[in-house]
Amino acid sequence: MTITIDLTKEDVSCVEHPIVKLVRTLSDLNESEVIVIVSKDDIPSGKILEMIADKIGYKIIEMTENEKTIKAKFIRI
Amino acid sequence: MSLNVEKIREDFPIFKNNPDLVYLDNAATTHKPIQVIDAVREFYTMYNANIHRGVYRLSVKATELYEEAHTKIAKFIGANSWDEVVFTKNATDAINMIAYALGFTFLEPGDEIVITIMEHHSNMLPWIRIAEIRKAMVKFVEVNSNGILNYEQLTEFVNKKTKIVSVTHVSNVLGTINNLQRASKIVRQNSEAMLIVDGAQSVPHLPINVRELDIDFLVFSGHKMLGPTGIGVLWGKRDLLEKMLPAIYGGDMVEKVEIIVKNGTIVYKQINYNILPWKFEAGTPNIAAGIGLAKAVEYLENIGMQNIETHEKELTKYAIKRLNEELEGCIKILGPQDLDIRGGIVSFTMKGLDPHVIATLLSMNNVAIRAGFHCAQPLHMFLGLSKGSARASFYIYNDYRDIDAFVNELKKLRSLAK
Repeated sequence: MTITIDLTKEDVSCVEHPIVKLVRTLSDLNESEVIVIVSKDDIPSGKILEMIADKIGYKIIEMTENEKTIKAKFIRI
Repeated sequence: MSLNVEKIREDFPIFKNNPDLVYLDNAATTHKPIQVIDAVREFYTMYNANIHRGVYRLSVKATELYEEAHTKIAKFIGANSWDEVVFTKNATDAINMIAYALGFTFLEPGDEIVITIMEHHSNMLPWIRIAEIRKAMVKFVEVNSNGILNYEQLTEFVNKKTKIVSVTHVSNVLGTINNLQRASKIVRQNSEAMLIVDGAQSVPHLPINVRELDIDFLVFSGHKMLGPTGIGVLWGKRDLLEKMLPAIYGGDMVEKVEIIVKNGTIVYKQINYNILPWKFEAGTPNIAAGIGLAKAVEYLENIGMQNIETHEKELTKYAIKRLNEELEGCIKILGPQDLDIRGGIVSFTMKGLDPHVIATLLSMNNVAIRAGFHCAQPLHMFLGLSKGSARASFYIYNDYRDIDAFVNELKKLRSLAK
């Protein structure tokens, strides 16, 4: 099953940030396919998502971006 | 290096259990040497009992150890007497206690409290709250572009209406070491205000003598200086502590509670507060942590506070040099350029990279730094840093290799910075 994590609506606060939530969520998930949508304000480059994927046992097989967001499909390796 | 870091690290089990850890988040909390861990374990396994009023051997021993811990801290900060030292949960707890105790004892409507824009929320929000309650006003002294306190503005703000001036000794973001002697002189010359110092980022790192600094109160946290969590210190001048009403009420802070109730109503009341410092330590305190903190102080004294300060200056100098060289054009280091007025804290931003992204990517390679506002959001807003900053902070067990690992990881992010 593919699940989608949309972090574009997440608030950056004194105690939380979308990238922290992304790493935590991906680390906790058992799903083999995850679609991640992030705001470029928070995570400006797809390369950052690739670095995260690489470190926590995922690979990105698809990535698209527009002016404001990046959408990436992560699969577990 | 001024310190034998290899030898020091042998005392810290965290590094044996995490051999790849590059820990640069010491402004948030520090690791604990085995001596402190053993002191806490020894208390619970050998002497555990509640303090005061116990007639049996264990309680007497626990009381003795806990009181000795106060004495050790008093000597460490140059206090006149052990009973000027009150144990709290942490620096935040201590400032809140002072704010409420001073606020309800001394503050009148129209009085003024002066703080600075570089304060941690802990030395800001309690004053804002007590000012709201007592209808007083809080004024913020600003910093210049190098992160140095505006002493002219401090002089301008402190006047006869000022009852409290509360400043940090070392900024937890900028690393700036404020000139307390200068601040104290300004406060004494222009007002009868009490001068409170947040020593959370200075007491663990520099030699401190409260009498030489001519201040009225000092607060700090144990966990930032190798001690256990849940223990902090409030030091105050005896005459002020004696005049202040307690902020927290309950057991052990009273000598006598004579209340006669008739038909559900108090018809007679005589409450006498306990002597110092117990008047301010209501309820069963964190005895084990107090004993652990005393052991941490002993550990620091064995190394020497002057040596610790020198060591951190060496690390800071090296870190700033390497960051400027290797990341030229894409990094901005906050705070003073002058190392003489700078502690072992290096906060920075990288062009186009959110500080949380930096810290997260570094953490994936075992480099622990902190990102965000560091509980100093108004300072970041003042500096125009809407996303906060990333911060590396050093201590006795760090060496050049830690800085190298940190800089090398940052260099990998260079291509991401715009």
